[in-house]
Amino acid sequence: MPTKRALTASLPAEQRTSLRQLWRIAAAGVSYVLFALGGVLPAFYSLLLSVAPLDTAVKQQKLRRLIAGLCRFYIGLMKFLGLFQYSITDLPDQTTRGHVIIANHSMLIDALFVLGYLDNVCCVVKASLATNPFTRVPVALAGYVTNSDPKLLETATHKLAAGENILIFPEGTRNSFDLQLEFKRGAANLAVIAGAPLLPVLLLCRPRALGKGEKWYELPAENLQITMQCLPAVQVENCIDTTLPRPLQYRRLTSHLTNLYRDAISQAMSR
Amino acid sequence: MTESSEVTSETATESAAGASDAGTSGMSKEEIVEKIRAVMVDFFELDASEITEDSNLVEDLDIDSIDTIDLMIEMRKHLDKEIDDMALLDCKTIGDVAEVISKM
Repeated sequence: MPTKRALTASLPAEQRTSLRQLWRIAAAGVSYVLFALGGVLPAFYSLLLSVAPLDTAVKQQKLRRLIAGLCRFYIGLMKFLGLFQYSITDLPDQTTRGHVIIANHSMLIDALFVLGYLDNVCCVVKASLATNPFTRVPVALAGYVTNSDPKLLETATHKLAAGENILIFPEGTRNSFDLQLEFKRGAANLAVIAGAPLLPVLLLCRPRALGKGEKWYELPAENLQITMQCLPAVQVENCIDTTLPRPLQYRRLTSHLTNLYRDAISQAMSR
Repeated sequence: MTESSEVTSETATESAAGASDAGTSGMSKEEIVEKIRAVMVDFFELDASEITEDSNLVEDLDIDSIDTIDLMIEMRKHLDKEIDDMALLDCKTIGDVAEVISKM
């Protein structure tokens, strides 16, 4: 009996490409459905945790571990379904604490990689997630902060001091091209005010996919290769003059981080 | 966004807005604008000519809410009045900021 590989190999090249593309679109659809269904798991787990006789910090840790595990599961699933290959390099050790984690943002699933592979990460989430009946409890129990919180900076500063890592995408939204890098100052504000180091994470997808304005089924025909690389931590005092007025520090640090990413992406592109 | 009292500017340029601590009593709006302009030139490396009463804080000067709070912390050092940060967060232009300060 001929194998599937033998059957597809006997097809003309154009048909093989079109079959592969159909498979990838179906696989992407399955992944998104499972992602939506899997979202119920943290909600259910949160309800159990909320009545469990445990310390708030323990509940937070348990829920974050579940979320990290789910993120890794989805990444593994999408790889298994042939949607992409990925590599992760230079992960910091588990003792990384009190860092402002920043990442460039080109694709829909960037956060899955950061939440899945970095430890003890607190997200700044959209305000709507804190009021949505399905996500309200998990967001609160996971200790995430909302971007509409008038005390966001103060809360994040306390969390950093307590050893949590705060994830911020400085671009705010997905970019249109890799070197766009229009960083807002939020991450620099927090790092300067809290006196916290930054951990830059470089995320690249070749060819670009799942970008801003693209539909989930608009996938390139080529195989996707996603890379996640943690760059060396940035100590604020080593890259800007910390005796300057703070507004100037925010601007200098934002500019420094933009250049750091520009260099790292250019270097990665030239490989 | 707001900040706690521990999140204060300790590195502010003392020379900004001159050494005057005369306060806003009897100061005209134009004089307050002039003080704001002096601080902003030092704090944000802006050209003084860019800063007019009609300048929009966000669109023309790229000043966000955190900058506004840092600006006010510095202005307090030079004016003899308490300045309510929250009232200033609604200000759109330099003229609005001067207006709020003059009424405090």
